[in-house]
Amino acid sequence: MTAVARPPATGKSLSIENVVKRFGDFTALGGVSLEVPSGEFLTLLGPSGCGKTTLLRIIAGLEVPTEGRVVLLGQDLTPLPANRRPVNTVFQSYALFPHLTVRENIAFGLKSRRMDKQEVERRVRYGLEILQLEKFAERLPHQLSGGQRQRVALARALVNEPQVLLLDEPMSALDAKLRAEVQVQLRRLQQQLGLTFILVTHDQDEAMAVSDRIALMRMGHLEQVGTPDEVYERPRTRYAAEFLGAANLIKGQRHPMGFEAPFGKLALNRTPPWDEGYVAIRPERVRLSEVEPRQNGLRVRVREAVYRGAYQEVWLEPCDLRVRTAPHPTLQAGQELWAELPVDSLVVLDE
Amino acid sequence: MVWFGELTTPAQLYRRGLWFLLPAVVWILGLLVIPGLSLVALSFAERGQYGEVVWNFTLENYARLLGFGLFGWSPDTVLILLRSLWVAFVTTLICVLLAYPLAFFIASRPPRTRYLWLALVIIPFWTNLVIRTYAWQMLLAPDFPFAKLAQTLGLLAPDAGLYPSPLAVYIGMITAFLPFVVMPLFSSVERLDWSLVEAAQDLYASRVRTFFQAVWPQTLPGLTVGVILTFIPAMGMFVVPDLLGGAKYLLVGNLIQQQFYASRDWPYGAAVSLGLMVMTLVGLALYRRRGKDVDLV
Amino acid sequence: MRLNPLIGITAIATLAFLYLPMLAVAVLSFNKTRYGLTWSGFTWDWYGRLFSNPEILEAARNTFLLAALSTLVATVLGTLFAIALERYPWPRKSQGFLENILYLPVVTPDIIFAVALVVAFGAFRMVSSLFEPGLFTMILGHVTFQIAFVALTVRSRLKSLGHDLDEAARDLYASYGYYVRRVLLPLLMPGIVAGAMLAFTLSLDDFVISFFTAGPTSQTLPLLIYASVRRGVTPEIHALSTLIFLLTVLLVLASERLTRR
Repeated sequence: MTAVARPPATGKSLSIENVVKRFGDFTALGGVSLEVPSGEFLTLLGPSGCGKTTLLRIIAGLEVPTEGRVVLLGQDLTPLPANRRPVNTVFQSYALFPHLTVRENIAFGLKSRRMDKQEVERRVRYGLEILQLEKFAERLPHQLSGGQRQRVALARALVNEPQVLLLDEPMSALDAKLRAEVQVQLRRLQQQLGLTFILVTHDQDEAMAVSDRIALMRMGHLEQVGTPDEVYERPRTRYAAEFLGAANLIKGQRHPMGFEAPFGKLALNRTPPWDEGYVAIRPERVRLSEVEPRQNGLRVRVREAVYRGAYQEVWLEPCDLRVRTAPHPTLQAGQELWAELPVDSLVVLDE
Repeated sequence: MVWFGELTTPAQLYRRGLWFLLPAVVWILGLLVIPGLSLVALSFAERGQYGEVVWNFTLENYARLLGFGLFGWSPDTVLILLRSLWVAFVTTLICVLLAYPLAFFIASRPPRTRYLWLALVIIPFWTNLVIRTYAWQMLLAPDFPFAKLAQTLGLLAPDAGLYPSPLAVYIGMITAFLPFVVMPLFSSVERLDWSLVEAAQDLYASRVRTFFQAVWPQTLPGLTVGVILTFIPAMGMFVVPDLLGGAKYLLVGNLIQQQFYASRDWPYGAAVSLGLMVMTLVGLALYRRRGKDVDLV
Repeated sequence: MRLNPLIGITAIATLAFLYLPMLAVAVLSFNKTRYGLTWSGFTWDWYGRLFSNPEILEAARNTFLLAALSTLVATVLGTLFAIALERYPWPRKSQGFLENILYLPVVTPDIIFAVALVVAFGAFRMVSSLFEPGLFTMILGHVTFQIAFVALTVRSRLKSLGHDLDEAARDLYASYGYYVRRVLLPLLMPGIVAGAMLAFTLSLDDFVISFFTAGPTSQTLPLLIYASVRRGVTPEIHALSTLIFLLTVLLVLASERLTRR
């Protein structure tokens, strides 16, 4: 593992400073600022058109920001062309050179910098090894499967020992089963090498599985940045709550004791900053019981119960809650019971 | 801006792009556009006594093109223009009628042999036209079986050949242009959505109806290209009528050639050329309207 | 796909119609008699004489020299033109103008182009004797229409490449020169080769433009065949035509193999 130099632990390797990108009248990025510490696995998550890929391309040097700058270890990258940035990209299409073999593809970035032959060979061998590509070294890209191509793209970028590795939806072309496998490998690889990875994806499961931190994006802005569990457990906005996993959103007014929803009063552990707004609760956090809970209990009726194997999905009336519980064979539509919305699980949304 | 991964500015790109652009553009401007414009200028000049060009502005060449000569109006040149249009039209029509079965036949071959069949169409297309045309001279000669058969049937005078004749011109033209229709048509037929054909048959459409409702519309892009590639050059064709048509069946191409060789009347030849160019541009305008999404090559 | 047998029969008959002239020429090239169309025995003689006929050898040399030189020039210019059209952000109006320039040689009827060259070379001659009819003027003419076909072929290849590979090359530290040498040109090569083969065949095939721009010493094979058709064909011409046909078959099969890869 000595082949790849670890970046110095400055704490913040990459900073994105107030980056704005406009294409004509369209604002793709409306002032994004973000610090990425060395060795972090950061995911830019959001739906298509939210600006995540544009941000990635700006870091790579494939797009010029309209305003703002990108600084890496104290050096302003903004005026540098892509070929002079210590940053490499794994493209969504992989962009392997079809006329070059796997070996030549991996060597491309080294040779274009006129590295000496022995060093090129050593690094290529290392790249082939860590991504288990030795057997395919002499093949052309069209002779490889999708997963193999993706590994070549990864090796081709990694052998350059970039300060930051950018990954643009690298798993979108893989089938679901392979994707899950690759996610685990990718995470392991990143931790092994200690490199900064920035991944772009629209897949929230993927983001949760691999990231140290998730930067959730929406319409050219950062909606929320935090560790996967922060973003999942403590979403700040309705958008964040709904984009990551399922959430019950409850609309209501602030009340001296907490919160007043149409179907009753709820205690909260934080005073809402608004007079009228939303609180959220994850379906798996709602507890169902036969007896009335001590706090935040609601008398409800089962509208529908769907057995899903590993869990059971239940819709309740009259509060229109969606609940995920361990399978209860006896649970049936029409049945009346108690639902508890635990205080610690109720999240007050800022907007 | 970043352009194909390169950090640059439009000014820089234009400067470099001009080096890529200029050689070809200067070449085409100098050897096609300027010659073309000089042809236009020439068409307004006069022919001198010895065939030289006299630079006096005149519209006489165009008047002659429309048939107004020294001895009043005569239909000769107009007839040649109309005949060229007619020959081009008939040639195109027959080529289309023959191209459909051929295109479907090739498309129905198994994938492994399909391109060999297509190559069979392409090979005559690339064989020199002069060769293919003179070969027809022999095939239509008086002592060849075709003419003999016609003589026996009483369709032809004894010892006469089938050329020079309008028929020979049509045969030569079809030989020349058939591949131009088959190739683009084949590329459309190959991409045909057969589910529509099945749907039509499912709905008890007759064969004719199935063709016109489900097949023909889908082959329109290829057909349009084929028609344009045939009709436009067919109007200006010179080799085929020259070798197979004889003196009585002149087309525009021959008329132009005559002015530049035998008659040495360049200004008139230029005017006739521009007449042909106008017919071509009209054809192209129709193409632009019909087949915008189809590449010419 | 099931086809009506009638369609198959028509198709085969049409193909036969296309090949009939070539077949006749090929058969006659082995015919012993010098005159007439009646069969009087098999001979290789005419092929032998072909190679001792200085006029024909000279024409063959001219034809290939013309095709090779004009293809060389047209391939370079056409490739550069295609790159300029496809890879530079020209303003919309200029782009339209360039497109028209590109298609002009394709849509101009060859006879008009030929007489325009006759007129222009007539004028250019007043400046330089280089423009006396001959191989040079023929090359000028051939390159003009070849450029467009090369550019169109290379451009369709460029279009299919997209910009991912360019960006990947840049991301992997390639300078512009390195990218052109190691990525752009190798990737374009199939298109360039296909375009060059197309240009070469077009040049071999051309009659009209050669006819109008040739000089007394620059006779090519198509011109020679045309001239001898006017004088009355000999079996040597049949033999020559058969050889040209066989060459065409080879070229077509080779280019099929190249482009279908």
